[in-house]
Amino acid sequence: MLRSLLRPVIATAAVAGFAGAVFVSDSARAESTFVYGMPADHSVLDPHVTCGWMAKMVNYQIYEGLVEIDLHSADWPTKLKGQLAESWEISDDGTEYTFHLRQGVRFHDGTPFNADAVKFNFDRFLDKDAPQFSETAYAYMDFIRMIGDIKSVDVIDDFTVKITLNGPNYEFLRTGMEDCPQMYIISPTAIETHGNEGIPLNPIGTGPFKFVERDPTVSTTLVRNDDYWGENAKVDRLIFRILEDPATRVNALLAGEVHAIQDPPWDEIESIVEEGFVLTTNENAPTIWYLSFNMRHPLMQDPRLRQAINYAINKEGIAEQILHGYGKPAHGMLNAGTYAYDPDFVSYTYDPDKARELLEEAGFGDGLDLDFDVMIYGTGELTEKWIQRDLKKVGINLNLNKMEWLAYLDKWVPGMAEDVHMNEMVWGEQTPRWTAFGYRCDRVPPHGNNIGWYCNEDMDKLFQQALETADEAERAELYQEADSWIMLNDPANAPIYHYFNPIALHPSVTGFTNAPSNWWDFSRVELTE
Amino acid sequence: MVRFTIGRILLVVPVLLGVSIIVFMLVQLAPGDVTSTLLGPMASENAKEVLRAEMGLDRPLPVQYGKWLAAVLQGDFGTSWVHKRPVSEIIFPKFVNTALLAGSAALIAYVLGFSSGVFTAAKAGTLFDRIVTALMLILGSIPLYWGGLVLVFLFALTWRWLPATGMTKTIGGGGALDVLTHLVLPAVAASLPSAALISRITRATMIETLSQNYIRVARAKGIRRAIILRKHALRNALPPIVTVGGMELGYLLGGIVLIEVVFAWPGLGFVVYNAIIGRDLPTVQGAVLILALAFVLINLTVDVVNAYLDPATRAAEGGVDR
Amino acid sequence: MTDVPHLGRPRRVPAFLETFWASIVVFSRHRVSFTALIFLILVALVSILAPVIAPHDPYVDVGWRNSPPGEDGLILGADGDGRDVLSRLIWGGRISLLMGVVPTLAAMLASLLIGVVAAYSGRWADQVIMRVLDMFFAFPIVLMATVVAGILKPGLATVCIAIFIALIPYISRLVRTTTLTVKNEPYVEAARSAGGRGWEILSRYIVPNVIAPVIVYTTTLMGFMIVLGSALGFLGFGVQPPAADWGTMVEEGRVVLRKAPHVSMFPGIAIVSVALAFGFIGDGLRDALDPRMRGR
Repeated sequence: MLRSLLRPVIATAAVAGFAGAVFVSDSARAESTFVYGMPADHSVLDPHVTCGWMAKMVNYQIYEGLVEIDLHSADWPTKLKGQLAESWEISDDGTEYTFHLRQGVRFHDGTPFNADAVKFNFDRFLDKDAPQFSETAYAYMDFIRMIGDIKSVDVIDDFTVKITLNGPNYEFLRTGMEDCPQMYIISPTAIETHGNEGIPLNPIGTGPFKFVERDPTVSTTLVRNDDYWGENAKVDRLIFRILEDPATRVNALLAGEVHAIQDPPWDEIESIVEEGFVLTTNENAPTIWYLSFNMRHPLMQDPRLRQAINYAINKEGIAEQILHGYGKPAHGMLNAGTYAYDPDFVSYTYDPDKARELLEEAGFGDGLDLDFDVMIYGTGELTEKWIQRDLKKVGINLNLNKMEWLAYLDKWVPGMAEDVHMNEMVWGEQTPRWTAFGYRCDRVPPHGNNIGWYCNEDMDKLFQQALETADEAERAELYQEADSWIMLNDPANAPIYHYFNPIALHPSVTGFTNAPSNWWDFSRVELTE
Repeated sequence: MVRFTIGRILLVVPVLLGVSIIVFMLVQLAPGDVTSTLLGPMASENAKEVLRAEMGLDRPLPVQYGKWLAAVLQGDFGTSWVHKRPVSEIIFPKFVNTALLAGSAALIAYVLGFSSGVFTAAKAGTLFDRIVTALMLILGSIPLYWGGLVLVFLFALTWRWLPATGMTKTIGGGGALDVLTHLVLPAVAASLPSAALISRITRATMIETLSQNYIRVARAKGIRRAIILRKHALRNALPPIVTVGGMELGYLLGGIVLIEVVFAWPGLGFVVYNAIIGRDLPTVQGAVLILALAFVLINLTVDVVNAYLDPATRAAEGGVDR
Repeated sequence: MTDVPHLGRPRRVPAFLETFWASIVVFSRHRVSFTALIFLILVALVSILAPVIAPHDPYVDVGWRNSPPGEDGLILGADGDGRDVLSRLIWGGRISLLMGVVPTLAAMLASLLIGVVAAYSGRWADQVIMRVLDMFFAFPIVLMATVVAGILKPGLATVCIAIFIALIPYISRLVRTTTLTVKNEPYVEAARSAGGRGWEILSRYIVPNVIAPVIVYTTTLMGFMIVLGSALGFLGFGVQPPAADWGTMVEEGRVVLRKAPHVSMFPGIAIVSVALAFGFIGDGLRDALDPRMRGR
């Protein structure tokens, strides 16, 4: 009955789809406001102490770094461009980075931007004696080896800064721009006036948008920075609305109450598009959904078991059926967003017979039980349930230990404990160094995110060689060599899929670029009547 | 009556004290390490130790409680660990929003539940009774997160009479009318289970009262049915109805987190839920304390109203001002 | 028998067996309630016999994701994971019924004790009991569930315990209010002045007269608790996948409400009809337990 009841509903909703624009444009005529529906609340607007993609999305509009990844282009691989630094040089030995800063830039509070401001920001986590030193920022920056990488930061003149590294490192810029915390430059006056704890409520940068207010768990409002040094933002206001429930997010879009929603439920995308909304995706988003194996667990030490799990999971099925094609099977740990990604590399394709064979060989013919740590993160554990089912078909019983996101992180970050065989993560960065971080012996917790305790010194040598290689193409090859060897011979992970980051837009939205990133630029977004 | 009321009000203090102790203890039981909320999960053990000492988390629990309570009594609920701003700034506006939604839902539930309950009781056993009783039950047992969506489909997406999400328009919103239009759907959706409960309890109590001897006597005396209903039955049936009505308001205040999520209503329930999973303990403590105060006041009101309605109850409640 | 008012005659309960039998007679005469009971017994039987009856494994995909009823040989279609909705419905009934009945019944019994004792034991004990309940009442059920889930583990037991604890203050307050009213009825006073002992008065005169609204309230709650239990699941504290109760099935299917309404609709119908059945049984029980209804 309900079905026939809803059919006219769907039809009418389709016709009425655009009437909703009235809600928005009526009052928007005088002032244009772009409302973005976020799938989760963001953490604090202090870029040095945040990790989440939602916070990065807001921070990206407010703050800027010396060098940035160009998000105005959807092309892959992405390019680095000067932002607060007009240009930079890297010394021949790869240890000294000299930045020539942009002149005439002011923070939103009027503070002039210069070399001292840069030094002040770096000292926030490098200099334990500085008044602005933040223990939290230190912890975050240490996690991405900023602390270990940097030897010193020196002011050469008002608009020149030199960063000296402890060793040659050609991924330094990308690491700083997009890893867990971001090396954005905050107004020193704001830090001095409001203290380290006061930055989240007084986020003052140099970006195209200025912070207005944050209504916790509801929305965050930004306004255009009319004194921006570059091209001014097109819209007057930018509002991030937090709409955690996927159905609610879709409703808000259909009713014309937001202009864009991130992560529309995959099952609904088709019908949203049918109703005239525009879907944008990027096949090279640096997002990878993967399982990690606990190499310290005696059971998991047999590579045949890990290979069997890789064979047993129907990634193509997940990409097609759960993601409706808004993702593609992942074959290695180099995600689709990094320049080192090789789209032609294939490691394991779905082959349950082969999996059973390997298990038989390894002595697990009678089946086995594995514990799988799972996070609750709003996707309804669809993929986890799918994997549970696939593995059951080859005789592996998977126990899902679901945990809230923060509780999960608490257990994930220190590395897998003895009571768990595998866990999961969705992450990915454009620097291939991120992949190396997950493999290197010296990156096991607490010094990094090699949470499965993988260690192979030969591979470490390759990763180190890659880091010290100036040529990007050569670097890419080295990363590919290491990753493919590990994947095929001694898989430490089971990469599942690369996600395409679907974003649905109201047809009145133009100028939005779904760049290969996990956060996007909104300064070029325009609303047409 | 006055003495009873005053006595009852005085009892609110120990209850709130008890609640504050339980809140404080519960938070200690909640899983996870508080320092990793503050420093991030990658913080070093050393940094965590330093922070624990700074925050006094290494002190004995009673000392911590004392400090917390002293601050709360001065109106200082602390600073949210997640949002880095005073807890009171977060929870008070949100509590107002929730109270508005819960109050409206309760109002709808009272009107709908009470009237349907009285009418079905007056016509007990008839087809009308059967249909209305069943209808109320059906409406009440539809899962909120499903029924809410159907309402949105019909009224917001199909007919476009009402907005689908939020409490005001995101752009250029505000004003009573704007809030009212946003309020209708979530309030109706939230009211249904409560309306069903109140309807049933009203019907049951009314039938019970109508079968009491004095009503039978009244009826035997030939007093008109409407007058019996109004003057005798209703008044005597009221105490359980008022009790359930109060409880439903309390339930709505603390229990409409699902409605808040489905309609993106900026309420306290969602804040509490987020604070719990985000381990933002000062916010959890503050919000629960506010809710507790509201609950206790509702119960107080219920008891006073019941005592007023029924002198016998008043005696039992300890009032001696007769 | 007759409609002549029994003036002054206390409604007292005769010997247990006699009461029981008389109640059954009254209940079975209540056509709607009787049908509801038969329906619930059937639902319970089907759930218990799930391993035998269910056409498919509820945890394994047997069809295309969200395939509509009738396709892939699935009468009620497949859910978002390609699993048979009918089989999941049958298995889910076990959890849902358990979640609706056990904690609610347990809370009712506990509340009867607490509420009657509170109302009957004089103002100080009464105030202490009720104010302690106020403290529990003051906790949002979400917080309660989180704490219980933190101490135990998310799962059916957690949901049941959370519901049990959460319901006690609600039902107890109702019991107490009703008891206070009943306690001062003439027949109770008559029994008391006739030298009836406290326990006897309680069990013979008070409880039977208090129970009507409580039964109605509790049976109504049973249907609602099926939904509430799944709401806790929605928030992450409930039954863990791949197992699913009806409420969770509705929740899982609601995102595709437009595309595949059957996924959420069938479990929704199950919840509503069971809730309805509980309600009707409550009505029948109320009449059955009412001494004046017997013998009519």
